[in-house]
Amino acid sequence: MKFTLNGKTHIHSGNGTLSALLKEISAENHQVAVMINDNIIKRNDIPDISLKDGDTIEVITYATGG
Amino acid sequence: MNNNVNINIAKPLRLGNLEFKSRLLLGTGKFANTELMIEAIKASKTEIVTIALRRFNSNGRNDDLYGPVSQLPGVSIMPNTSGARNAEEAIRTAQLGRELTGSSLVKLEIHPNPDHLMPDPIETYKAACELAKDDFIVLPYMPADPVLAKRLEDAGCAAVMPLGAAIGSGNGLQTSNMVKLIIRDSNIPVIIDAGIRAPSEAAAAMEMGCDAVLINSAIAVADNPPLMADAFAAAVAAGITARTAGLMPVSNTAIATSPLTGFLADEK
Repeated sequence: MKFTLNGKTHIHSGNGTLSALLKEISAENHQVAVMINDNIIKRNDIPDISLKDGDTIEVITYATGG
Repeated sequence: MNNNVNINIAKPLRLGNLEFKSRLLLGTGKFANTELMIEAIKASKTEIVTIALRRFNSNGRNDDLYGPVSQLPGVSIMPNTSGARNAEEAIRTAQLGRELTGSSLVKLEIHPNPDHLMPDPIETYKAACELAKDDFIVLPYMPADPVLAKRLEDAGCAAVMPLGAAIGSGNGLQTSNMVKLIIRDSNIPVIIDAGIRAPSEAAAAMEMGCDAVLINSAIAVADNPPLMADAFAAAVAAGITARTAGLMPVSNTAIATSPLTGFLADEK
């Protein structure tokens, strides 16, 4: 499957779930917030989400800042 | 000295439905490394630290922040909306921050011009209205404008955060006259955010009537950040204790502290 992940093309080789994608990029569920096609995913819903070819996905994490 | 005097009478800082003993909020930017940042957070005795949100980097080049910060006991995380150029982006960033951290606190900041990082009052107000309706505890970074402060209070913000000077500039509390007007009319906490360089300026802000200060650069880029954090904690505590104690009135003429009669040279 092919996604746009954080602004870049990403070829996914897993089972097409959001959990598989996060694992593929070494992101822990509790370290990230996710937006798919401009919809913000509730934290508790992450394990239940299936992705579609062509989805635009933003994976956001903590950064230092004032 | 009367040892029964209770100097610990400052009320807690109330933000929405949350209460905090510390009046010092700390940013996590610009520290040389995570260990120094954590030591500074501990030394500051802060109960609120700000973080930013950025894209996850699958190459592993992410700030090592989640573990250290989320494990600090008694410290709440307040995501900011830095990077947002308008209300829509800020609202989205705030919503992502809430999902990421589980915290409803949000430092609303919209500053589209990187040259001066001055907050956009119109977009900030629009975003504040929406976020307050969505049950966020909204702390907007704002120009030191008493009219806007009132509008943000009416919009449901939990506090207002007027700037003392430009972000990261270290130019101190240049807006003090405007901040005094904000304090006079505000029914919500007033927190100075940005510009403060020296602990004495933080103490002055508290003496003036501010409810808290948010410090980042002044601590993070000090030669010894944990020591500077300790100094700011002491200054903020001194400032609010002094205000609680009641500062003496100002006079344009001298008022003698010693008796003005009975001098040795007086005529007998």
